[in-house]
Amino acid sequence: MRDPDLFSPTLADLIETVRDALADDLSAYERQVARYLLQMSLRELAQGPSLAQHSVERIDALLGTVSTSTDGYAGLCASIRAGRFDERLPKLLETLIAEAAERVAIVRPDVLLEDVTP
Amino acid sequence: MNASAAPAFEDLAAAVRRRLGTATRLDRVEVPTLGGSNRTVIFDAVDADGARRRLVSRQETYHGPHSPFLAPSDQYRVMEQVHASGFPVPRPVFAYDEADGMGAGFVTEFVAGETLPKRIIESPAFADVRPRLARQFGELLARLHALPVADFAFLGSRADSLDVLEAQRRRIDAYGRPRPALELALRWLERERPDPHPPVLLHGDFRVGNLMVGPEGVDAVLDWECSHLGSAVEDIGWLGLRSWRFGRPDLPVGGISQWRPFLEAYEGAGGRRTHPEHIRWWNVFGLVRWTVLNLMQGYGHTCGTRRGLVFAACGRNADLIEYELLMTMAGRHA
Repeated sequence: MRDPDLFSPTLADLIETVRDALADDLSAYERQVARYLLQMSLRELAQGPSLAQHSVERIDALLGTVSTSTDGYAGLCASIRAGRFDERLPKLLETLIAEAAERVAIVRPDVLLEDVTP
Repeated sequence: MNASAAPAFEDLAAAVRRRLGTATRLDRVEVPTLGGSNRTVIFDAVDADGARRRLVSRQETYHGPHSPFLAPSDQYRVMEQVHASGFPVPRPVFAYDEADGMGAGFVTEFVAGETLPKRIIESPAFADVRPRLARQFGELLARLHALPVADFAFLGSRADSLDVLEAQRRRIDAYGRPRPALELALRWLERERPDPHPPVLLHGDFRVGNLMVGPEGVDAVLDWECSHLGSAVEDIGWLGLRSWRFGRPDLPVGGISQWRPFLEAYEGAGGRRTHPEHIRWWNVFGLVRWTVLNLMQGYGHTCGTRRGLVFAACGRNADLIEYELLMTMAGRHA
């Protein structure tokens, strides 16, 4: 279930961007960024579907809904803005940390390493 | 490569001749590969007698109704006034106008030195100056915040000068992607908002990376595109973002120092007494703002105004900063 896209830019956009960049001579720095984007894309191919599933479950648990797509971010944002989570901010924070950590595991997992307590 | 004859720089050469004399030519033209929001060109202007002046041209590449950046003409005006006060900033030379056909931008003198954070934080070449930097940062910010705010009244109508939370919210909405982490943070900030302080001139992006460091310390403060009016603690909270610690998360002032020397120098130079809980509030706000700046770069990429590897990476990096934001709010990162 991948509708709408999990990230912006989308996975397809990342691959297109690297493809288009390869038309030019790349500096060492640009090659490094291209590699970074491709590694991220590979992780998203592997881990994106489970993130999408967990995301739906987390949002449903917060909003008390049963959803079939990942478009729940908009509803969750509207509820937070309207103050409907004001009494549950710590719980919301913990849920969003779990969500963010799973996203970081795709974007740049080494960021999580320093937070692992031995 | 001798790029000075390349057609790409003919407009620049013409703009320089208009101001510095018809016999002036360009030499040693360089385009730095790093640099997010502006096109930057460094060059020598050589006059008829062969005298050289190293200059820097900056042209705006992103503009739109929700741009978080100050119009280049206003940046130039800020730099002129800050320079006139004796504050270390590259000397403004001229701003582009319509006749240049180069869009918005300006030219300043080049200041030599080091801006790369890793080198400033780690290189033995800066071992002597490093222990002094945090105090210098404090003194510089105190001097900046003491400038007569009435001289910068033209910044007062900027969204960031009016209501910092509303300014970010409007940008998030404009980029069209709901972000629950940012909503949570904005809600928390709204509920915990400190009493307002009298507004001062803020640099808006005062951090390692935008400070030109030489053997004696900070020689110039660069990148004024985020300057606005607001609480002095905003600049302090921003300076302390974990994103600017570059591998030394234990040292909140730019990966160089603890807060104490910075705050002693800031207060000693006339800066307002700063409370830790205010720094924390502005630190959380800074992480929201840093996320939004990256979303803006990603938005420029996805909507096609300005595509590229680095802008795509910025869009994705917003997720990394949101994680940092949430961990900071939870008290797991300081």
